[in-house]
Amino acid sequence: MSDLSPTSTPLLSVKNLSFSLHQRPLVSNISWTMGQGECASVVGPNGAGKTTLIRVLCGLYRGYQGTVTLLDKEVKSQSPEDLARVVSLVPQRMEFLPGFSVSEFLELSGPKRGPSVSNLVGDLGDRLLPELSGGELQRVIIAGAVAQGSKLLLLDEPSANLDPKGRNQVEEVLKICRDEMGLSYILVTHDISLALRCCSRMLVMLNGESYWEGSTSEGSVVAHLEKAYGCGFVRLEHESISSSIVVPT
Amino acid sequence: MMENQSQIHNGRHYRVFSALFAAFVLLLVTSGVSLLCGATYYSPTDILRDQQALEIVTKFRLPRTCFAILVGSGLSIVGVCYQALFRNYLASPFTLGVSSGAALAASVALMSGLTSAGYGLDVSICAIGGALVSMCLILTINARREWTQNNSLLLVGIVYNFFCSSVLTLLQYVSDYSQLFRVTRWMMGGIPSVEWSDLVVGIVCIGVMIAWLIRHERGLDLMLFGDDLAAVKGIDPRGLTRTSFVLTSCVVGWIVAQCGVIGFIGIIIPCICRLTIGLRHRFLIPLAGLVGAWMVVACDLLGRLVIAPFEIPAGVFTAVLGGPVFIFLLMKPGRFQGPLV
Repeated sequence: MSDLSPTSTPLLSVKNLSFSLHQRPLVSNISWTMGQGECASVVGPNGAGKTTLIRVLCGLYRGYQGTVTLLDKEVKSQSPEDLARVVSLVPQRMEFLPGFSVSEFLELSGPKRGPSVSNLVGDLGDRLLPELSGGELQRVIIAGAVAQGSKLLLLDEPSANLDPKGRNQVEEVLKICRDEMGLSYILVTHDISLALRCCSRMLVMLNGESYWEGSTSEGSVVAHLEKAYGCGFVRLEHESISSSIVVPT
Repeated sequence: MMENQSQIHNGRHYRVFSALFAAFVLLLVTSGVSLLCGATYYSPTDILRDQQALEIVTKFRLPRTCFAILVGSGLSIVGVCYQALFRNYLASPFTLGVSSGAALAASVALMSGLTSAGYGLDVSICAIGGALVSMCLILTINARREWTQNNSLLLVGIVYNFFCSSVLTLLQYVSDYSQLFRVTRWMMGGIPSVEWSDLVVGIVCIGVMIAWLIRHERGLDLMLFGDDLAAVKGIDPRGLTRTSFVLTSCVVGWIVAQCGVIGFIGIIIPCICRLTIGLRHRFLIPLAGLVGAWMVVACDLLGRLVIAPFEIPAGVFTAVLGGPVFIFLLMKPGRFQGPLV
Protein backbone atom coordinates (compact mmCIF):
# COMPACT_ATOMS: atom_id res chain seq x y z
CA MET A 1 0.00 0.00 0.00
CA SER A 2 1.23 3.53 -0.66
CA ASP A 3 2.18 5.81 2.20
CA LEU A 4 -0.60 8.33 2.67
CA SER A 5 -0.99 10.87 5.41
CA PRO A 6 -4.17 10.33 7.40
CA THR A 7 -5.65 13.56 6.13
CA SER A 8 -4.88 13.24 2.41
CA THR A 9 -7.62 12.01 0.11
CA PRO A 10 -6.40 9.09 -1.95
CA LEU A 11 -6.72 9.62 -5.66
CA LEU A 12 -7.81 6.05 -6.15
CA SER A 13 -9.14 3.56 -3.64
CA VAL A 14 -10.10 0.03 -4.64
CA LYS A 15 -11.54 -2.31 -2.01
CA ASN A 16 -12.42 -5.93 -2.64
CA LEU A 17 -13.08 -5.35 -6.31
CA SER A 18 -14.49 -8.27 -8.26
CA PHE A 19 -15.86 -8.25 -11.77
CA SER A 20 -17.25 -10.97 -14.01
CA LEU A 21 -18.30 -10.90 -17.64
CA HIS A 22 -20.65 -13.54 -19.07
CA GLN A 23 -20.36 -15.31 -15.72
CA ARG A 24 -16.61 -15.62 -16.08
CA PRO A 25 -14.66 -13.93 -13.26
CA LEU A 26 -12.08 -11.56 -14.71
CA VAL A 27 -10.97 -9.74 -11.57
CA SER A 28 -11.23 -11.06 -8.01
CA ASN A 29 -10.83 -9.36 -4.67
CA ILE A 30 -8.46 -6.55 -5.67
CA SER A 31 -7.63 -3.95 -3.06
CA TRP A 32 -5.34 -1.07 -3.93
CA THR A 33 -4.81 2.55 -3.04
CA MET A 34 -3.02 5.27 -4.93
CA GLY A 35 -2.21 8.73 -3.73
CA GLN A 36 -2.36 11.98 -5.62
CA GLY A 37 0.76 12.61 -7.66
CA GLU A 38 1.78 8.95 -7.73
CA CYS A 39 2.51 6.98 -10.87
CA ALA A 40 1.92 3.26 -10.82
CA SER A 41 2.23 0.38 -13.23
CA VAL A 42 0.08 -2.72 -13.56
CA VAL A 43 1.90 -5.73 -14.95
CA GLY A 44 1.17 -9.40 -15.33
CA PRO A 45 0.85 -12.14 -17.90
CA ASN A 46 -1.83 -12.08 -20.61
CA GLY A 47 -5.27 -12.68 -19.19
CA ALA A 48 -4.30 -11.48 -15.72
CA GLY A 49 -7.10 -8.93 -15.71
CA LYS A 50 -5.05 -5.77 -16.26
CA THR A 51 -7.23 -4.30 -19.00
CA THR A 52 -10.36 -5.29 -17.11
CA LEU A 53 -9.10 -3.41 -14.07
CA ILE A 54 -8.43 -0.33 -16.17
CA ARG A 55 -11.88 -0.49 -17.77
CA VAL A 56 -13.47 -0.68 -14.31
CA LEU A 57 -11.44 2.31 -13.10
CA CYS A 58 -12.55 4.52 -16.02
CA GLY A 59 -16.19 3.49 -15.75
CA LEU A 60 -16.52 1.36 -18.86
CA TYR A 61 -17.44 -1.62 -16.71
CA ARG A 62 -19.91 -0.62 -14.02
CA GLY A 63 -21.34 -3.92 -12.88
CA TYR A 64 -18.55 -4.66 -10.40
CA GLN A 65 -18.68 -5.75 -6.77
CA GLY A 66 -16.72 -3.95 -4.10
CA THR A 67 -15.89 -0.26 -4.07
CA VAL A 68 -13.87 1.80 -6.47
CA THR A 69 -13.57 5.45 -5.61
CA LEU A 70 -11.79 8.32 -7.32
CA LEU A 71 -11.28 11.23 -4.93
CA ASP A 72 -13.77 9.61 -2.56
CA LYS A 73 -16.54 9.30 -5.16
CA GLU A 74 -17.77 5.89 -6.27
CA VAL A 75 -17.02 5.33 -9.94
CA LYS A 76 -20.24 3.58 -10.87
CA SER A 77 -22.39 6.32 -9.41
CA GLN A 78 -20.81 9.06 -11.50
CA SER A 79 -22.01 10.16 -14.92
CA PRO A 80 -19.60 9.84 -17.85
CA GLU A 81 -19.23 13.62 -17.87
CA ASP A 82 -18.25 13.78 -14.17
CA LEU A 83 -15.95 10.80 -14.48
CA ALA A 84 -14.15 12.31 -17.47
CA ARG A 85 -13.09 15.24 -15.28
CA VAL A 86 -11.26 12.88 -12.94
CA VAL A 87 -9.94 10.06 -15.10
CA SER A 88 -8.96 9.70 -18.74
CA LEU A 89 -8.00 6.67 -20.77
CA VAL A 90 -5.40 5.95 -23.41
CA PRO A 91 -6.76 2.73 -24.89
CA GLN A 92 -4.68 -0.20 -26.04
CA ARG A 93 -5.76 0.40 -29.59
CA MET A 94 -8.07 2.81 -31.32
CA GLU A 95 -11.22 1.01 -32.35
CA PHE A 96 -11.89 3.58 -35.08
CA LEU A 97 -9.70 6.32 -36.46
CA PRO A 98 -11.74 9.00 -38.25
CA GLY A 99 -10.07 11.61 -40.40
CA PHE A 100 -9.92 14.41 -37.85
CA SER A 101 -6.80 16.51 -37.65
CA VAL A 102 -4.58 16.46 -34.56
CA SER A 103 -5.80 19.89 -33.47
CA GLU A 104 -9.45 18.88 -33.95
CA PHE A 105 -8.90 15.77 -31.84
CA LEU A 106 -7.33 17.82 -29.05
CA GLU A 107 -10.17 20.32 -29.25
CA LEU A 108 -12.69 17.49 -28.90
CA SER A 109 -10.79 15.90 -26.03
CA GLY A 110 -11.09 18.69 -23.55
CA PRO A 111 -10.53 22.27 -22.51
CA LYS A 112 -6.95 22.03 -21.20
CA ARG A 113 -5.06 22.75 -24.41
CA GLY A 114 -2.29 24.93 -23.12
CA PRO A 115 1.43 24.93 -23.99
CA SER A 116 1.96 21.64 -22.13
CA VAL A 117 -0.40 19.78 -24.46
CA SER A 118 1.11 21.49 -27.49
CA ASN A 119 4.49 20.40 -26.22
CA LEU A 120 3.32 16.79 -26.20
CA VAL A 121 2.24 16.79 -29.83
CA GLY A 122 5.25 18.79 -30.93
CA ASP A 123 5.35 19.50 -34.64
CA LEU A 124 2.45 17.27 -35.66
CA GLY A 125 0.39 20.35 -36.30
CA ASP A 126 -2.62 19.82 -38.53
CA ARG A 127 -1.88 16.35 -39.81
CA LEU A 128 -4.74 13.90 -40.03
CA LEU A 129 -4.91 11.12 -37.46
CA PRO A 130 -4.86 8.25 -39.99
CA GLU A 131 -1.65 9.67 -41.49
CA LEU A 132 0.33 9.43 -38.24
CA SER A 133 2.81 6.71 -37.41
CA GLY A 134 2.20 4.46 -34.42
CA GLY A 135 4.38 6.46 -32.06
CA GLU A 136 3.01 9.80 -33.24
CA LEU A 137 -0.56 8.59 -32.81
CA GLN A 138 0.14 7.44 -29.28
CA ARG A 139 1.63 10.85 -28.44
CA VAL A 140 -1.52 12.52 -29.76
CA ILE A 141 -3.85 10.16 -27.88
CA ILE A 142 -1.93 10.76 -24.66
CA ALA A 143 -2.08 14.49 -25.33
CA GLY A 144 -5.83 14.15 -25.82
CA ALA A 145 -6.11 12.38 -22.48
CA VAL A 146 -4.09 15.18 -20.84
CA ALA A 147 -6.27 17.81 -22.54
CA GLN A 148 -9.26 16.44 -20.65
CA GLY A 149 -7.78 18.02 -17.57
CA SER A 150 -8.32 14.91 -15.49
CA LYS A 151 -6.35 14.00 -12.39
CA LEU A 152 -5.55 10.42 -13.37
CA LEU A 153 -4.44 9.00 -16.70
CA LEU A 154 -4.95 5.33 -17.45
CA LEU A 155 -2.68 3.99 -20.19
CA ASP A 156 -3.35 0.51 -21.50
CA GLU A 157 -0.17 -0.82 -23.10
CA PRO A 158 0.67 2.44 -24.86
CA SER A 159 3.93 1.12 -26.32
CA ALA A 160 2.58 -2.18 -27.61
CA ASN A 161 3.19 -2.75 -31.35
CA LEU A 162 5.52 0.22 -31.54
CA ASP A 163 9.03 0.22 -32.92
CA PRO A 164 11.88 1.35 -30.63
CA LYS A 165 11.53 4.96 -31.78
CA GLY A 166 7.82 4.88 -31.05
CA ARG A 167 8.41 3.38 -27.61
CA ASN A 168 10.94 6.12 -26.87
CA GLN A 169 8.39 8.74 -27.87
CA VAL A 170 5.83 7.27 -25.50
CA GLU A 171 8.33 7.16 -22.65
CA GLU A 172 9.32 10.75 -23.33
CA VAL A 173 5.69 11.81 -23.12
CA LEU A 174 5.12 9.89 -19.89
CA LYS A 175 8.08 11.62 -18.27
CA ILE A 176 6.78 15.01 -19.36
CA CYS A 177 3.39 14.17 -17.84
CA ARG A 178 5.02 13.04 -14.59
CA ASP A 179 7.84 15.51 -14.15
CA GLU A 180 6.61 18.68 -15.78
CA MET A 181 2.86 18.45 -15.36
CA GLY A 182 2.70 16.55 -12.09
CA LEU A 183 0.06 14.16 -13.43
CA SER A 184 -0.75 10.78 -11.92
CA TYR A 185 -1.05 7.81 -14.20
CA ILE A 186 -1.51 4.06 -14.14
CA LEU A 187 0.47 2.33 -16.82
CA VAL A 188 -0.51 -1.15 -17.96
CA THR A 189 2.43 -2.65 -19.78
CA HIS A 190 4.45 -5.74 -20.53
CA ASP A 191 7.56 -3.58 -20.80
CA ILE A 192 8.95 -4.04 -17.29
CA SER A 193 11.82 -1.65 -17.90
CA LEU A 194 9.39 1.09 -18.91
CA ALA A 195 7.36 0.40 -15.78
CA LEU A 196 10.43 0.67 -13.58
CA ARG A 197 11.65 3.87 -15.22
CA CYS A 198 8.32 5.67 -15.32
CA CYS A 199 6.51 4.50 -12.21
CA SER A 200 7.21 4.55 -8.50
CA ARG A 201 4.78 1.75 -7.64
CA MET A 202 3.85 -1.54 -9.24
CA LEU A 203 0.87 -3.87 -9.01
CA VAL A 204 1.53 -7.39 -10.27
CA MET A 205 -1.63 -9.23 -11.28
CA LEU A 206 -2.07 -12.93 -11.82
CA ASN A 207 -5.26 -14.83 -12.71
CA GLY A 208 -7.41 -11.82 -11.98
CA GLU A 209 -6.01 -11.27 -8.51
CA SER A 210 -3.47 -8.97 -6.97
CA TYR A 211 -0.26 -10.98 -6.69
CA TRP A 212 2.03 -8.29 -5.30
CA GLU A 213 1.98 -4.56 -4.78
CA GLY A 214 4.89 -2.36 -3.79
CA SER A 215 7.54 0.14 -4.72
CA THR A 216 9.47 -0.33 -7.97
CA SER A 217 12.68 0.36 -6.09
CA GLU A 218 12.29 -2.71 -3.91
CA GLY A 219 14.83 -5.45 -4.49
CA SER A 220 12.16 -8.14 -4.56
CA VAL A 221 10.47 -6.81 -7.70
CA VAL A 222 12.27 -9.20 -10.05
CA ALA A 223 11.47 -12.21 -7.89
CA HIS A 224 7.79 -11.38 -7.85
CA LEU A 225 7.79 -10.87 -11.61
CA GLU A 226 9.44 -14.23 -12.18
CA LYS A 227 6.77 -16.01 -10.15
CA ALA A 228 3.93 -14.15 -11.84
CA TYR A 229 5.15 -14.54 -15.41
CA GLY A 230 6.58 -17.98 -14.93
CA CYS A 231 9.89 -17.09 -16.56
CA GLY A 232 13.23 -15.72 -15.46
CA PHE A 233 14.07 -12.01 -15.48
CA VAL A 234 17.44 -10.37 -15.27
CA ARG A 235 18.23 -6.84 -14.26
CA LEU A 236 20.90 -5.18 -16.37
CA GLU A 237 22.74 -2.03 -15.47
CA HIS A 238 24.96 0.07 -17.73
CA GLU A 239 26.81 3.28 -17.11
CA SER A 240 25.20 4.86 -20.18
CA ILE A 241 21.71 4.65 -18.71
CA SER A 242 20.54 6.06 -15.43
CA SER A 243 18.19 3.24 -14.55
CA SER A 244 18.33 -0.51 -14.93
CA ILE A 245 16.71 -2.64 -17.61
CA VAL A 246 14.78 -5.76 -16.72
CA VAL A 247 14.40 -8.29 -19.50
CA PRO A 248 13.09 -11.86 -19.56
CA THR A 249 15.63 -14.60 -19.93
CA MET B 1 5.44 26.55 -36.90
CA MET B 2 2.74 28.16 -34.72
CA GLU B 3 2.17 30.68 -37.49
CA ASN B 4 1.70 27.84 -40.02
CA GLN B 5 -0.81 26.12 -37.76
CA SER B 6 -2.70 29.36 -37.33
CA GLN B 7 -2.79 29.83 -41.08
CA ILE B 8 -4.09 26.30 -41.61
CA HIS B 9 -6.73 26.85 -38.92
CA ASN B 10 -7.84 30.13 -40.47
CA GLY B 11 -7.87 28.51 -43.90
CA ARG B 12 -10.16 25.76 -42.68
CA HIS B 13 -12.54 28.25 -41.08
CA TYR B 14 -12.56 30.26 -44.29
CA ARG B 15 -13.52 27.15 -46.27
CA VAL B 16 -16.27 26.27 -43.81
CA PHE B 17 -17.87 29.68 -43.74
CA SER B 18 -17.53 30.05 -47.50
CA ALA B 19 -19.35 26.76 -47.97
CA LEU B 20 -22.09 27.77 -45.55
CA PHE B 21 -22.52 31.14 -47.22
CA ALA B 22 -22.55 29.63 -50.70
CA ALA B 23 -25.12 27.02 -49.70
CA PHE B 24 -27.31 29.68 -48.11
CA VAL B 25 -27.17 31.89 -51.20
CA LEU B 26 -27.87 28.91 -53.46
CA LEU B 27 -30.87 27.94 -51.38
CA LEU B 28 -32.15 31.51 -51.34
CA VAL B 29 -31.84 31.90 -55.10
CA THR B 30 -33.39 28.50 -55.87
CA SER B 31 -36.23 29.15 -53.45
CA GLY B 32 -36.82 32.51 -55.10
CA VAL B 33 -36.97 30.90 -58.53
CA SER B 34 -39.33 28.29 -57.10
CA LEU B 35 -41.72 31.05 -56.09
CA LEU B 36 -41.66 32.61 -59.55
CA CYS B 37 -41.81 29.46 -61.68
CA GLY B 38 -44.45 26.82 -61.99
CA ALA B 39 -47.35 26.08 -64.31
CA THR B 40 -47.35 29.86 -64.89
CA TYR B 41 -44.35 32.13 -64.56
CA TYR B 42 -44.83 35.22 -62.42
CA SER B 43 -42.23 37.94 -62.36
CA PRO B 44 -41.63 39.89 -59.14
CA THR B 45 -43.56 42.84 -60.53
CA ASP B 46 -46.46 40.54 -61.48
CA ILE B 47 -46.58 39.32 -57.87
CA LEU B 48 -46.59 42.84 -56.51
CA ARG B 49 -49.26 44.12 -58.88
CA ASP B 50 -51.53 41.12 -59.50
CA GLN B 51 -53.65 39.99 -56.57
CA GLN B 52 -54.16 36.55 -58.07
CA ALA B 53 -50.45 36.07 -58.62
CA LEU B 54 -49.74 37.17 -55.06
CA GLU B 55 -52.31 34.73 -53.74
CA ILE B 56 -50.90 31.84 -55.75
CA VAL B 57 -47.39 32.58 -54.58
CA THR B 58 -48.21 33.13 -50.91
CA LYS B 59 -50.87 30.44 -50.52
CA PHE B 60 -49.41 27.68 -52.66
CA ARG B 61 -45.84 28.17 -53.79
CA LEU B 62 -44.39 29.68 -50.64
CA PRO B 63 -45.70 27.04 -48.23
CA ARG B 64 -44.70 24.35 -50.70
CA THR B 65 -41.18 25.76 -50.97
CA CYS B 66 -40.93 26.02 -47.19
CA PHE B 67 -42.13 22.43 -46.97
CA ALA B 68 -39.46 21.33 -49.43
CA ILE B 69 -36.85 23.14 -47.33
CA LEU B 70 -38.05 21.31 -44.21
CA VAL B 71 -38.03 17.93 -45.95
CA GLY B 72 -34.59 18.39 -47.51
CA SER B 73 -32.94 19.70 -44.38
CA GLY B 74 -34.64 17.07 -42.22
CA LEU B 75 -33.60 14.11 -44.35
CA SER B 76 -30.02 15.24 -44.81
CA ILE B 77 -29.49 15.99 -41.11
CA VAL B 78 -31.00 12.62 -40.19
CA GLY B 79 -28.44 11.12 -42.57
CA VAL B 80 -25.64 13.01 -40.82
CA CYS B 81 -26.82 11.67 -37.49
CA TYR B 82 -27.15 8.06 -38.67
CA GLN B 83 -23.73 8.08 -40.30
CA ALA B 84 -22.11 9.34 -37.11
CA LEU B 85 -23.88 6.96 -34.75
CA PHE B 86 -23.47 3.91 -36.99
CA ARG B 87 -20.00 5.04 -38.09
CA ASN B 88 -20.97 4.16 -41.64
CA TYR B 89 -21.36 6.73 -44.39
CA LEU B 90 -23.83 4.54 -46.23
CA ALA B 91 -26.30 4.69 -43.34
CA SER B 92 -29.41 6.76 -44.05
CA PRO B 93 -33.16 6.48 -43.45
CA PHE B 94 -33.43 5.03 -46.95
CA THR B 95 -30.69 2.40 -46.84
CA LEU B 96 -31.51 1.25 -43.32
CA GLY B 97 -35.15 0.70 -44.17
CA VAL B 98 -36.48 3.28 -41.71
CA SER B 99 -38.27 5.21 -44.47
CA SER B 100 -39.76 1.99 -45.83
CA GLY B 101 -40.94 0.96 -42.40
CA ALA B 102 -42.59 4.34 -41.93
CA ALA B 103 -44.18 4.14 -45.37
CA LEU B 104 -45.50 0.65 -44.69
CA ALA B 105 -47.07 1.72 -41.41
CA ALA B 106 -48.64 4.78 -43.01
CA SER B 107 -49.95 2.74 -45.94
CA VAL B 108 -51.45 0.09 -43.68
CA ALA B 109 -53.14 2.81 -41.64
CA LEU B 110 -54.48 4.53 -44.76
CA MET B 111 -55.71 1.44 -46.55
CA SER B 112 -57.27 -0.08 -43.49
CA GLY B 113 -59.34 3.04 -43.01
CA LEU B 114 -58.11 3.42 -39.45
CA THR B 115 -57.05 6.98 -40.09
CA SER B 116 -58.53 9.94 -41.92
CA ALA B 117 -58.67 9.84 -45.71
CA GLY B 118 -56.15 12.64 -46.08
CA TYR B 119 -52.59 12.86 -44.78
CA GLY B 120 -53.40 14.32 -41.40
CA LEU B 121 -51.69 14.11 -38.08
CA ASP B 122 -52.82 10.56 -37.36
CA VAL B 123 -51.10 9.23 -40.48
CA SER B 124 -47.95 10.95 -39.28
CA ILE B 125 -48.28 9.19 -35.93
CA CYS B 126 -48.55 5.82 -37.66
CA ALA B 127 -45.57 6.61 -39.85
CA ILE B 128 -43.54 7.71 -36.82
CA GLY B 129 -44.50 4.45 -35.14
CA GLY B 130 -43.32 2.53 -38.21
CA ALA B 131 -40.03 4.42 -38.19
CA LEU B 132 -39.51 3.71 -34.48
CA VAL B 133 -40.19 -0.01 -34.96
CA SER B 134 -37.72 -0.08 -37.84
CA MET B 135 -35.14 1.72 -35.72
CA CYS B 136 -35.64 -0.77 -32.86
CA LEU B 137 -34.87 -3.54 -35.31
CA ILE B 138 -31.75 -1.75 -36.46
CA LEU B 139 -30.64 -1.14 -32.87
CA THR B 140 -31.13 -4.80 -32.04
CA ILE B 141 -28.90 -5.69 -34.97
CA ASN B 142 -26.45 -2.98 -33.91
CA ALA B 143 -25.97 -4.78 -30.60
CA ARG B 144 -23.82 -7.17 -32.65
CA ARG B 145 -21.20 -4.48 -33.17
CA GLU B 146 -19.09 -6.45 -35.57
CA TRP B 147 -22.01 -6.36 -37.98
CA THR B 148 -21.84 -2.58 -38.37
CA GLN B 149 -18.14 -2.81 -39.10
CA ASN B 150 -18.74 -5.32 -41.87
CA ASN B 151 -21.58 -3.41 -43.53
CA SER B 152 -23.90 -6.26 -42.65
CA LEU B 153 -26.14 -3.63 -41.10
CA LEU B 154 -26.79 -2.28 -44.59
CA LEU B 155 -27.63 -5.74 -45.87
CA VAL B 156 -30.24 -5.95 -43.14
CA GLY B 157 -31.57 -2.58 -44.31
CA ILE B 158 -31.78 -3.81 -47.89
CA VAL B 159 -33.59 -6.98 -46.86
CA TYR B 160 -35.96 -4.96 -44.69
CA ASN B 161 -36.61 -2.63 -47.63
CA PHE B 162 -37.52 -5.64 -49.76
CA PHE B 163 -39.80 -6.94 -47.03
CA CYS B 164 -41.64 -3.63 -46.69
CA SER B 165 -41.92 -3.29 -50.48
CA SER B 166 -43.37 -6.79 -50.71
CA VAL B 167 -46.01 -6.10 -48.11
CA LEU B 168 -46.83 -2.79 -49.76
CA THR B 169 -47.18 -4.53 -53.12
CA LEU B 170 -49.60 -6.98 -51.55
CA LEU B 171 -51.61 -4.13 -50.04
CA GLN B 172 -51.72 -2.34 -53.36
CA TYR B 173 -52.84 -5.53 -55.09
CA VAL B 174 -55.86 -5.93 -52.84
CA SER B 175 -56.83 -2.26 -52.70
CA ASP B 176 -59.31 -0.47 -54.95
CA TYR B 177 -58.23 1.74 -57.83
CA SER B 178 -58.53 5.08 -56.06
CA GLN B 179 -56.50 3.89 -53.09
CA LEU B 180 -54.00 2.28 -55.42
CA PHE B 181 -53.50 5.47 -57.41
CA ARG B 182 -53.17 7.64 -54.33
CA VAL B 183 -50.70 5.35 -52.56
CA THR B 184 -48.64 4.75 -55.72
CA ARG B 185 -48.27 8.47 -56.38
CA TRP B 186 -47.46 9.08 -52.73
CA MET B 187 -44.79 6.37 -52.70
CA MET B 188 -42.96 8.09 -55.55
CA GLY B 189 -41.90 10.72 -53.08
CA GLY B 190 -43.04 14.19 -53.99
CA ILE B 191 -43.66 17.54 -52.36
CA PRO B 192 -47.40 17.99 -52.00
CA SER B 193 -49.29 21.24 -52.03
CA VAL B 194 -49.67 22.14 -48.39
CA GLU B 195 -51.13 24.78 -46.18
CA TRP B 196 -49.22 26.69 -43.56
CA SER B 197 -50.85 24.67 -40.77
CA ASP B 198 -49.40 21.47 -42.29
CA LEU B 199 -45.90 22.70 -41.59
CA VAL B 200 -46.30 23.15 -37.83
CA VAL B 201 -45.60 19.55 -36.79
CA GLY B 202 -42.63 19.36 -39.14
CA ILE B 203 -41.16 22.61 -37.89
CA VAL B 204 -41.44 21.36 -34.31
CA CYS B 205 -40.00 17.90 -34.99
CA ILE B 206 -37.17 19.10 -37.19
CA GLY B 207 -36.45 22.11 -35.01
CA VAL B 208 -36.18 19.99 -31.86
CA MET B 209 -33.99 17.45 -33.67
CA ILE B 210 -31.61 20.10 -35.00
CA ALA B 211 -31.40 21.82 -31.61
CA TRP B 212 -30.63 18.49 -29.91
CA LEU B 213 -27.98 17.48 -32.43
CA ILE B 214 -26.28 20.87 -32.38
CA ARG B 215 -26.28 20.74 -28.58
CA HIS B 216 -24.57 17.34 -28.76
CA GLU B 217 -22.31 18.00 -31.74
CA ARG B 218 -19.21 17.12 -29.72
CA GLY B 219 -20.82 13.82 -28.76
CA LEU B 220 -21.48 13.01 -32.41
CA ASP B 221 -17.86 13.80 -33.26
CA LEU B 222 -16.56 11.57 -30.46
CA MET B 223 -18.91 8.72 -31.39
CA LEU B 224 -16.87 8.39 -34.59
CA PHE B 225 -14.02 7.08 -32.42
CA GLY B 226 -16.19 4.34 -30.96
CA ASP B 227 -18.48 4.04 -27.95
CA ASP B 228 -15.65 3.39 -25.48
CA LEU B 229 -13.54 6.42 -26.32
CA ALA B 230 -16.64 8.61 -26.44
CA ALA B 231 -17.62 7.35 -22.98
CA VAL B 232 -14.23 8.07 -21.42
CA LYS B 233 -14.33 11.55 -22.92
CA GLY B 234 -17.58 12.25 -21.04
CA ILE B 235 -20.27 11.19 -23.52
CA ASP B 236 -23.13 8.82 -22.68
CA PRO B 237 -23.20 6.76 -25.91
CA ARG B 238 -26.40 4.88 -25.17
CA GLY B 239 -28.31 7.95 -24.06
CA LEU B 240 -27.14 9.94 -27.06
CA THR B 241 -27.98 7.11 -29.45
CA ARG B 242 -31.39 6.44 -27.94
CA THR B 243 -32.57 10.05 -27.90
CA SER B 244 -31.13 10.80 -31.34
CA PHE B 245 -32.90 7.83 -32.86
CA VAL B 246 -36.24 8.74 -31.28
CA LEU B 247 -36.01 12.31 -32.56
CA THR B 248 -34.85 11.28 -36.04
CA SER B 249 -37.58 8.64 -36.25
CA CYS B 250 -40.17 11.34 -35.57
CA VAL B 251 -38.72 13.45 -38.37
CA VAL B 252 -38.52 10.55 -40.83
CA GLY B 253 -42.03 9.42 -39.93
CA TRP B 254 -43.49 12.89 -40.46
CA ILE B 255 -41.67 13.38 -43.76
CA VAL B 256 -42.69 9.98 -45.12
CA ALA B 257 -46.31 10.53 -44.07
CA GLN B 258 -46.41 13.82 -45.92
CA CYS B 259 -44.52 13.04 -49.08
CA GLY B 260 -43.58 9.36 -49.33
CA VAL B 261 -40.06 8.03 -49.68
CA ILE B 262 -37.53 10.51 -51.04
CA GLY B 263 -34.32 8.56 -51.39
CA PHE B 264 -30.60 9.36 -51.40
CA ILE B 265 -30.81 12.76 -49.74
CA GLY B 266 -29.71 11.25 -46.44
CA ILE B 267 -26.65 9.59 -48.01
CA ILE B 268 -25.22 11.85 -50.65
CA ILE B 269 -25.74 15.23 -49.01
CA PRO B 270 -23.84 14.36 -45.79
CA CYS B 271 -21.05 12.77 -47.84
CA ILE B 272 -20.71 15.77 -50.15
CA CYS B 273 -20.67 18.10 -47.17
CA ARG B 274 -18.00 16.02 -45.42
CA LEU B 275 -15.84 16.10 -48.51
CA THR B 276 -16.16 19.88 -48.48
CA ILE B 277 -15.69 20.84 -44.84
CA GLY B 278 -14.58 17.75 -42.93
CA LEU B 279 -16.08 15.81 -40.07
CA ARG B 280 -16.94 18.40 -37.42
CA HIS B 281 -20.68 18.19 -36.82
CA ARG B 282 -20.78 21.74 -35.53
CA PHE B 283 -20.49 22.85 -39.17
CA LEU B 284 -21.64 19.69 -40.90
CA ILE B 285 -25.19 19.81 -39.52
CA PRO B 286 -26.03 23.33 -40.72
CA LEU B 287 -24.30 22.79 -44.07
CA ALA B 288 -26.09 19.49 -44.67
CA GLY B 289 -29.37 21.17 -43.77
CA LEU B 290 -28.82 23.97 -46.26
CA VAL B 291 -27.59 21.73 -49.10
CA GLY B 292 -30.29 19.12 -48.49
CA ALA B 293 -32.93 21.82 -48.52
CA TRP B 294 -31.53 23.22 -51.73
CA MET B 295 -31.53 19.79 -53.40
CA VAL B 296 -35.17 19.03 -52.60
CA VAL B 297 -36.30 22.55 -53.59
CA ALA B 298 -34.36 22.19 -56.86
CA CYS B 299 -35.75 18.71 -57.59
CA ASP B 300 -39.28 19.86 -56.84
CA LEU B 301 -38.79 22.86 -59.11
CA LEU B 302 -37.49 20.62 -61.89
CA GLY B 303 -40.46 18.35 -61.44
CA ARG B 304 -42.83 21.28 -61.83
CA LEU B 305 -41.10 22.67 -64.91
CA VAL B 306 -40.06 19.68 -67.02
CA ILE B 307 -43.54 18.67 -68.16
CA ALA B 308 -45.50 21.67 -66.89
CA PRO B 309 -48.36 21.92 -66.11
CA PHE B 310 -48.01 18.31 -65.03
CA GLU B 311 -45.58 17.42 -62.25
CA ILE B 312 -42.95 14.76 -61.76
CA PRO B 313 -42.41 13.89 -58.07
CA ALA B 314 -39.17 15.20 -56.59
CA GLY B 315 -38.29 11.69 -55.44
CA VAL B 316 -37.81 10.65 -59.08
CA PHE B 317 -35.10 13.28 -59.57
CA THR B 318 -33.36 12.57 -56.28
CA ALA B 319 -33.14 8.92 -57.32
CA VAL B 320 -31.92 9.75 -60.84
CA LEU B 321 -29.28 12.15 -59.54
CA GLY B 322 -28.54 10.34 -56.30
CA GLY B 323 -27.96 6.86 -57.70
CA PRO B 324 -24.86 7.70 -59.79
CA VAL B 325 -23.48 9.91 -57.01
CA PHE B 326 -23.97 7.05 -54.56
CA ILE B 327 -22.03 4.69 -56.82
CA PHE B 328 -19.31 7.31 -57.26
CA LEU B 329 -18.99 7.64 -53.49
CA LEU B 330 -18.76 3.88 -53.12
CA MET B 331 -15.84 3.82 -55.53
CA LYS B 332 -14.01 6.88 -54.25
CA PRO B 333 -10.93 6.07 -52.20
CA GLY B 334 -9.58 8.17 -49.39
CA ARG B 335 -10.81 9.64 -46.20
CA PHE B 336 -14.43 8.61 -46.52
CA GLN B 337 -14.20 5.21 -48.10
CA GLY B 338 -16.14 2.24 -46.79
CA PRO B 339 -17.22 2.50 -43.17
CA LEU B 340 -17.09 6.12 -42.19
CA VAL B 341 -13.88 5.76 -40.31
